[in-house]
Amino acid sequence: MKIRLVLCAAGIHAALAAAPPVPPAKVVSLRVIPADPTLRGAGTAVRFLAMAKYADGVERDVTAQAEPTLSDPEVAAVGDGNRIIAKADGEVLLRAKFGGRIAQTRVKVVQADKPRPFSFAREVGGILTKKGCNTSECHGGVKGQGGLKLSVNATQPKDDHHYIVKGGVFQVLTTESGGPAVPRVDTKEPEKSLLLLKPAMQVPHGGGQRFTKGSPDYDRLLGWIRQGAPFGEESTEAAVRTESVEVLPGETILDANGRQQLVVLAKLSDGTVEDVTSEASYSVSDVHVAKLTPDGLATALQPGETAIVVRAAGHAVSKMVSVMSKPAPDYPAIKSHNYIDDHILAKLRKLNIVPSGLSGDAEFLRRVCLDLTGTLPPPARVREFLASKNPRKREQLIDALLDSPEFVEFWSFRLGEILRYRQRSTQLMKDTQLYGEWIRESVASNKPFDRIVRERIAAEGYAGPSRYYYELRFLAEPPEIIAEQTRLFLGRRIECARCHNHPFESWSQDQFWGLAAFYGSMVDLRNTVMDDSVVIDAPEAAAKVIHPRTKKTAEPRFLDGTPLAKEARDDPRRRLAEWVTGHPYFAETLANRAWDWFFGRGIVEPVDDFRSTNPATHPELLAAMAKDIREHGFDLKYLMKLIVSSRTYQTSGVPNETNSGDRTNWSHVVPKALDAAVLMDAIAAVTGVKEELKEGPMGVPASARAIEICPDLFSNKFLQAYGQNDRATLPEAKPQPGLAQALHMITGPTYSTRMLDDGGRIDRLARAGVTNRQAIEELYLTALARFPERAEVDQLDALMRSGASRKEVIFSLMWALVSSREFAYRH
Amino acid sequence: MAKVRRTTTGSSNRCFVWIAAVACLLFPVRAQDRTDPNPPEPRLASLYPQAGQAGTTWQAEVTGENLEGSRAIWFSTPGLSGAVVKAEEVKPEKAAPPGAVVERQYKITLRIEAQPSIGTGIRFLRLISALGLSNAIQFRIHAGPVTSEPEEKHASPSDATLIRLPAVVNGRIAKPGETDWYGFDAAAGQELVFDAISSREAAATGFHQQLALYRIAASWFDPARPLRVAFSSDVRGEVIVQNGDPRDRSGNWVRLKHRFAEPGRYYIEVGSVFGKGGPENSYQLLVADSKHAATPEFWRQHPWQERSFIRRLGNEHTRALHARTLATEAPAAPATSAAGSDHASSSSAKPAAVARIPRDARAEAAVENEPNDADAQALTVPLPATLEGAIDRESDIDAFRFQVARGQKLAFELETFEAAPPEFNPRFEVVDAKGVEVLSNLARTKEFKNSKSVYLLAVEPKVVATFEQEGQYVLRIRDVTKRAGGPRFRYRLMIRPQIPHVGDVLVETRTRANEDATLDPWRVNLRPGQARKINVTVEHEEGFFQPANMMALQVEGLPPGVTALTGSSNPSLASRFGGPAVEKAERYQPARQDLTVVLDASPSAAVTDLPVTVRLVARPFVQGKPGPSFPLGELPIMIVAADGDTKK
Repeated sequence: MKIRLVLCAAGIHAALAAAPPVPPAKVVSLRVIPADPTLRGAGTAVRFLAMAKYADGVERDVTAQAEPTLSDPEVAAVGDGNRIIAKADGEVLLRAKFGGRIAQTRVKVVQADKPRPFSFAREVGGILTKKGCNTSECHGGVKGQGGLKLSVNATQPKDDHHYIVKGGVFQVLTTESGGPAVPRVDTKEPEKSLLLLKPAMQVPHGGGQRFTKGSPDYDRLLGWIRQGAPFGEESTEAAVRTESVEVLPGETILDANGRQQLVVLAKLSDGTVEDVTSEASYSVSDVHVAKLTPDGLATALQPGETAIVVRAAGHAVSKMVSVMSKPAPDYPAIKSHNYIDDHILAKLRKLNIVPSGLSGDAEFLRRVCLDLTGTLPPPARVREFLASKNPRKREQLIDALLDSPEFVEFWSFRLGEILRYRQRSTQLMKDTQLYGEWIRESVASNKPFDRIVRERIAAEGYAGPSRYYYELRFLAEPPEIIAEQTRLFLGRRIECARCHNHPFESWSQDQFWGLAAFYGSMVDLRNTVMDDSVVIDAPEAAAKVIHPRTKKTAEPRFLDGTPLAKEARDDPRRRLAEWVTGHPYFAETLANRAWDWFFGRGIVEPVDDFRSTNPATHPELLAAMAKDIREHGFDLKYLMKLIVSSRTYQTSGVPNETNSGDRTNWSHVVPKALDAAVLMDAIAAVTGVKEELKEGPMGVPASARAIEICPDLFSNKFLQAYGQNDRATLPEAKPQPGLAQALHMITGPTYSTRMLDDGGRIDRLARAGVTNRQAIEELYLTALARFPERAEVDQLDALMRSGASRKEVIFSLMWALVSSREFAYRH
Repeated sequence: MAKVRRTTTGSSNRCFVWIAAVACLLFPVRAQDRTDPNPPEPRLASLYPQAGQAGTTWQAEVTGENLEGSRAIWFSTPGLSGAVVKAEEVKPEKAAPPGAVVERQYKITLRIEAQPSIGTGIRFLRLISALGLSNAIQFRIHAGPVTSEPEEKHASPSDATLIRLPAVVNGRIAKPGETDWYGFDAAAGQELVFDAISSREAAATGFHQQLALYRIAASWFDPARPLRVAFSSDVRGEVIVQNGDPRDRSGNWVRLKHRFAEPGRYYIEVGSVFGKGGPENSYQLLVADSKHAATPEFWRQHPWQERSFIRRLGNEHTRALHARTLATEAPAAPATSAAGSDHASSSSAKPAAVARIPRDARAEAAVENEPNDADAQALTVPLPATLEGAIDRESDIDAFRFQVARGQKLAFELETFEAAPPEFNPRFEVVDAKGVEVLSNLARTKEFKNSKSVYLLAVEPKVVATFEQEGQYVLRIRDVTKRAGGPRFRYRLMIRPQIPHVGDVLVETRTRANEDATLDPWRVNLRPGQARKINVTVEHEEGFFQPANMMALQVEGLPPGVTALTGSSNPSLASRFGGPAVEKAERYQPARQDLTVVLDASPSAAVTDLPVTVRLVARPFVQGKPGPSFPLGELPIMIVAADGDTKK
């Protein structure tokens, strides 16, 4: 039996034409970046870029062809590599001319008469970063390497200075240095410093040679040691610090074989900038798409997108670099439904990727029913929807689904996954029930998501959300709680910082324990005459949260380092809840997670791993959605309606020549496997036979769906084979096909004997009164929400007339339908 | 007179025995090993239906083990009679593993008749079997008609059982995942109360019934889709979940109240948490207009409850305390200071200006008057007093001011009569004129978990203290959380002089560890030539008895051929439930004294046809001299033939 599948295999990128494409002739605008920089100190330089925007909406690097001029050569000069070099205090206009357009930027020079103050972080940290000494694989590892500990990317310069000058290595459970403390500098005999001998391979070095004796970096370090290895200006409160690092230009879209010079600017606390392009280290996540030179020149290799990570001056930032496909000869005009499409379509246009057409009604109907309710549309509704000529029928359907009880069941399941509704206590199942009912009630009443989160973080008493805090018979430990809350509600993974500063990000161990301390006064209240436990905050009785290294009581501090005011400490978790839900991270995390729910992939992916080295594919869209959901009071239904109403969501899953390889720009809908429980319910809907779920004396009522069960209470082979999440941890993996599924399809009762149960659909269809064609049509409508094609009907009808048992043929057809990818996937 | 718990089951003076001959049944009787120290005990596990109507006769089914030779029913109160109609041994579904002790399982049909004048409420029955007297099992008597769920499936709106209101329905969640649906018609604006109460036997096994209210509301997917309107643990209906208090095993009680905005057909679904099913999981469903709904008292058993949030406080309570004390008081105990040492030292310098309150003083009721969150707004009350109020909103505090004399011994008792723990956890604290806390009902226990010390807190329904310093104090009461509050968060707090008395008396008659002590196993079945040890724990409240004195135990009314040997320990503050000690335990828990009784039946002891109720009597010795004896409780005893045949 051949079942037509609309799913397409992943496409292969078309090879690029050998000759670089010629950009559209017309330059729409020209700009010079960085805009209005201020330089500090004579000799300080900054690269500039001339960026021309063309009629296709793409900005290209035309610096090499631009003609730069300066308004006052006494203040600054243009040097090699398109650098503006400061000479004297004052302001100067830098003009560039290209394509008949002129652009300018104002460069200000201050304190030209003063030498640039020394900064350990910038000077020494910069070399260590550039040379890869402080990566997590080398001395940036948790305990360092070979007796030397450095912070990753020089994020903790004071610690680095300590370990270099004093020696010693990091210990997880104490502030004492472990092992013998061997200083890496020798100020009496600087040339004998290990900091020089090892990277220059004058003595054996596991990390190999990093620079040669007498190289500029060697000499700079030697000079620093000769000066006594000072920490420098950042040791004073008034010192100028690097506040952030920016990579220019903001958006990088390359033609095939196109190039773009990147400029990395360190933004200092005094308002000036420093060009650290040459001191930065670069890495590319997809080396097939683009390559980067050590000086930050990006070159396109093949169409696609890649993230690049830039580490410099104690910071790490990332950005996306896109390489365009061949220009589409007749790029179609596509109508946007809402601002989501504006962002998606604009980028697709720039990348020369043509989105697939609007999905057909049948495709949309099945997709939206599964995504909003986890339920297949019944055949009567499929017929009705497909027959309707109402131009607003999609909108009306969305509204009907959002108001349905099936929506409540499905989104209780969805939220139950991330809020981890599971058997939390070994003894008190009613506690688990309370928690599950709180989730369900929150969905049924469309409770704003920020309120849901506030209720859970600040939960006290015996109310449903308070049950979350119980693991077995005790309250969960603050470090576990805060790691999960931060990941779930702020989209950041800070758990590494429990034992040490985060190896990739700037989360410190102090930050982690400061957050954990918000749970330091949470205790268990147990009435001596009752079994039930109650959660309260009682600072006078709590065991406190102890910082494992300092052994001191951790004081509650928000993630940004702000301490919780003393007068607010009687209710610390409420304050934390308010802070979390009011933070920009919260809205963007929710927007991103919602995107993942409907598209199977986040704008930031993984959805709970926002970090500087994991950029968003559509940062402006994410920001716009975050702003929107915040302005709409974190109304989940509003957010869902916005998404499913978009052209982007309603795009067909059938790819075209330009977009078949695209996985990150939502040019077409990518199929995603149904969750195990949704699939089980879908099979039950098609077969008319429900799976009986029992576990000892417990059982699932006949009226309940698989999505309603508490997953770890009822073990079921089908659910396990299809990747049911037991919610012991936050969900990470998405359903994936596997051998167990294939075996289950062949031998499992769900796909075989149970289909034939009395009273099921096969039993009914096999009886007289239903024609072959009616039976075939009903099965297609039920399982796939579409009519069968004529060829499919003819073939099946012939088979049913051929003398084979009618029931057997219907069974075979049903088996083939529910075993197909078209059925088991939402597409 | 002090009484043991479950007194309604034990007194031969007030307990009527109705025996009916079993004409048609002869039970297989197994031979017993005379040397078996723990012979099988008859045990009832379930009773269905759980309820009947006064003035009617109904059939009921009990299940249990070791019930061979059951021949009569022993009821707790007059007005009830009945007979064993049929008995059958139930073969286990699975063979027991080799070497396992297998108890014989039985299903027994009873006929129960309730006189019209019996009155409503909780009653008990026991079976008299060849192996002796069973434990007691609970049922309820209603004034109105009582029906039972039909045999036919009624698990959805389409096959729901229609009920007329008001309704009392007996049902059972007998199988995993089972739900029972009942349909009814409601008028617009009508407010109905739905109560579901499980048997205490089911509650003891972790069965928690739940209620869901539905109406048919077409969904896009299904035109006949039932839509949940309210649920017994969501916020849309008024919900009371009376959880299993080990001192009040009346069963779990779930209440759902709902006002119907629209008239029409609705459905109430009875299920259980996570679909737990089994033959013992019986329930009663009551549906009534909210004006006529059963009061909480109807659902509760009322044995003596010394430390419970749901005992009724007031002058009746005080009278009951006086009835549980000795006619002659023991010497006063050394003062237990509620205040710090500064209070104690300053008190010695000042003469007392405020008179101490006599023990028999009548408590006046004082109702809070908002606003009273601040100490300056506290309502001044004379002692003794019964304070009443509600934590109307989250973070609400009610403050009361009172004056005490130096050396005054006070007891603070809390009652929550609507919302109760764990939903409402009232916390009070008493502060002195400087605002320093001298007392609270928040007890603290230190435990070790993962090699770290953690604290467990508990709000206590009763606290005692001695005030070393005369003066004015303020009592602040609130919910222990900062989230809960509302009109149902009502409390009653009694402040009274301490009345030394006997508190709870716990009798341990279990012969097997797996028998649930909360299900009233109190009974002793003795074989001739057999001896049995019974442990009795007496709680000494408010300094009833002092460690320096002694208390002995006497057993009165023993059947011929049975003698009792007794022993006792000194009272101590050891926790009844074991575990780590509560800080300042003397405030939060009574002194406990363990007493031992060995009942020894001689080989020639005569078999008894009926239970004999013996009395446990305490005899104190104060400073070496015997005081007046004091009844502690009663216990039914049977002498059973060694081979289990009571006819021998």
